[in-house]
Amino acid sequence: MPWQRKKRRKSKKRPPLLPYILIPPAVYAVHVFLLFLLDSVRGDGLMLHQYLNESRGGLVRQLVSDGWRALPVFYAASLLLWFEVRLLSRFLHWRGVVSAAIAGAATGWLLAFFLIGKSMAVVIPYTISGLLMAAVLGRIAQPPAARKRR
Amino acid sequence: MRFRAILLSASLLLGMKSVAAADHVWIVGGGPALGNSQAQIELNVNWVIQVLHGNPGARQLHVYYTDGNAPGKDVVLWQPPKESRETLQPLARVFDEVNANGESYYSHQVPHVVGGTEASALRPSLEKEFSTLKPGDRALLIYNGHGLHDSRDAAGNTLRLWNNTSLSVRELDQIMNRIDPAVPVRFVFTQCFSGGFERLVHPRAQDTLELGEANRCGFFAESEDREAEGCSASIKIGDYRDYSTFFFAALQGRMRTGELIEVNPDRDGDGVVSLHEAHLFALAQGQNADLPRSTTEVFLERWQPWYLRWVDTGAEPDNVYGKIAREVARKNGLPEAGPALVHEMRGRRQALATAMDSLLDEQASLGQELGALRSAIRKDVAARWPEALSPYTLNFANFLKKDLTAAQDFILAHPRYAELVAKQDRRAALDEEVLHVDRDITQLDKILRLRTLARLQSQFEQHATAREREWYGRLMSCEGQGL
Repeated sequence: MPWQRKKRRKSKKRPPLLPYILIPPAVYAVHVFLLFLLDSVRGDGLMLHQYLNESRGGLVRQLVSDGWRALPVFYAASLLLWFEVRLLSRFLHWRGVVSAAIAGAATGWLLAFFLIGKSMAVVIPYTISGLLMAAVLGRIAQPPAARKRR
Repeated sequence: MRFRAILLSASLLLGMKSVAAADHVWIVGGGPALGNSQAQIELNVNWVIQVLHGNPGARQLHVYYTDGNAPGKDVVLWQPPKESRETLQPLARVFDEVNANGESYYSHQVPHVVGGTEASALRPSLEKEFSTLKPGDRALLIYNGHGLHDSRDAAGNTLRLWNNTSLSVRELDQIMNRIDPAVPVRFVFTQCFSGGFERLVHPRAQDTLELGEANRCGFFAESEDREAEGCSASIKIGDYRDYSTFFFAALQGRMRTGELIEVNPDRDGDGVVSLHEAHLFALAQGQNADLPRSTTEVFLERWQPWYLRWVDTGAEPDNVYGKIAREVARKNGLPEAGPALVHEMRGRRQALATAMDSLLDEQASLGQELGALRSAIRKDVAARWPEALSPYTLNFANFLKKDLTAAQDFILAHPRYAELVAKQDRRAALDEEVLHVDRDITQLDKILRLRTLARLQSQFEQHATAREREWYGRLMSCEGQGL
C-alpha cells in the first residue's frame, strides 16, 4: 500500500534522539568519577574526606546542584562536538570513532586550557570527557552501512 | 576671602563630624539558664572587655549579660571537690552527683552591663541603639555564649539567650537592618553552629552569593553545623582555648594567661592588627577543636563554580592560606606540603579515628559498669538508710542531720567503693582524652581546609567577575579594619 511505504520511509529517517539526550549526563557522570579518581590519587582526597568525615548529605547535595549547572554546558558541548564530527566526516571524509575522539579530546583540551586552567590536573578530566563524548557521537553518527563494513 | 571662609567652615563641620563619629561595641554574653551559664563565658567576656580597654582609641561599650543587673545567681563555676566527708563526695559519687557537687553559683561580675539578654528585652534595646548609629560610626558585635542548630536552614540557627529564649539569624538580620548601611558592622560569634550567622551579610539572610546593601562582615568559631569547643564550667585558664582566646590574644598581643604571643599577628606589617589578621592568627595558632571561618572565606566557598570544584585538589598556591596551611602542618609535626603531607595526614587521621573509636567504646562500657556499681552500693546504703533515697523530704533532712557521718563511713568502707572511685576518675580522664584526640583531628581538618582556601583564592583571582570581585573587596575591606 502506498501510505504504508510512505510511513516506513519516514520512520527510517527519524534521528535517534534518545542517545543524544543521554550522552551528556552519562559523560558528566564519568567526568565526576574521573575527578574523584584524580582527587583521591593525586590530590587531597577531598571528596572521600567529605564522604567519610563530614556531611554525606552535603556531598550529595553539592554533586546534584553542580550537576544541574553542568548539564546545560555538557549539552552545549555535545552539540559543538556533534557539529565537529559532522564537519569532519563531510568535508575531510574523516569518519569513525577514532577521528571523532581525537577531535573531541582536542576540543576538551582547548576549552579547559583557555577557560579553566593550564595545569594537567585541570585539563585531563575535560580532555577525557571531550574524547569520550565525541567518540560516542562519532559512533552514532556513522551510517549503519559503514558500521557493518567494519 | 569668602571662598576661604566657606572652605574653613566646611572643613570645621567635617572635622566635627569625624569627632562625633564613634566606635560602638556590643557584647552579648552568658548562657540561657544558670546550669548553662558557665564561669568560662563570664571570664571570656571580662577578658574581651579588658582587651577593648587596652587597645588605643575610644569606643562605647554596650554590654548585655544573662539577667542584666538583677541580683540573682546567674553563673555556675565548677571546681573539683575535695575527697572528704565534709564535701559529701562519697555520697555524691554513689548518687551520681559528682558534677553537681563541684558546682557553685554566684551573680556575674561583668562590668558595664546595661541589660540582660532575654530576647524580649534585648531585641528592643538593640533596635534602639542600632538606629542611633550614623555614617562615620563603626559597630562591632561580640557574642559569647551558646548556640543552637537548625538542620533545615542555617538562617534558623540561634543564639541561646537568658531565660531559655533565643534570637535567630533572621531575627538578628531584621534588628541589624536598623543600622545605616554606610556604617561598617563587624561581628564575632564564638558559639556552636556560629557559621550560620554568616548569612547576615546576604540580603534577608538568604543562601546566596550576593551581598546585601549593608556593610557587614564577621568571624565565626565554627561552621553552621559543627559544635564549637565546649564551654567548660572550669576556671582553670589553661583548660579552655577556644577561638576567642586566640582571636583576642592577637588583638592584645598577649595570651589570656599573660605571656606575650610568640608570633606577630600583623601579617601586612602596617603596625595595626586588623580583625582579619586576628582571625588568621587564631587559624594558625589555635590548637583546639574549632574550625573557624570568616565571611570572606565562606564567600569564596560559596563562589566556587561547578567547573572548578574537585579540580586539581593537589595544587598548593603560595598565598596567605597556603602559608598558614604549611605553618599548621609544621606545628603538628607533619611535612609542610606535597604528597608526603597528604599521605601522612591520611595515616594520622586513621590512627586518630581508631583511637577515638576505642575511647568512645571504653566510655560506653564504663558508663554501664558505673551504673551497675552505683546501684549495688546504693542498694546496700538504702537497706540501712532508706531516707537517703528521698531528697527534698523531711526524711532526707533528718538523714543529713543524724546519719550522714555513719552513712558516709559505710560508703567509704564498702568493698566496691574504691572500684567506683577509680572508674569515675577514669571516666573523667576519658573526657579529657577524647577532647585531645578531637583537637588533633581538627588540626588535620584545618590543614585540608586551609589548602582548599588557598586554591579557592587563587581560582577566584583568575575566574571571578568584576561584580564578584567588588563584593569580595567589600567584605575584605570591612574585615581588614582594626578594633
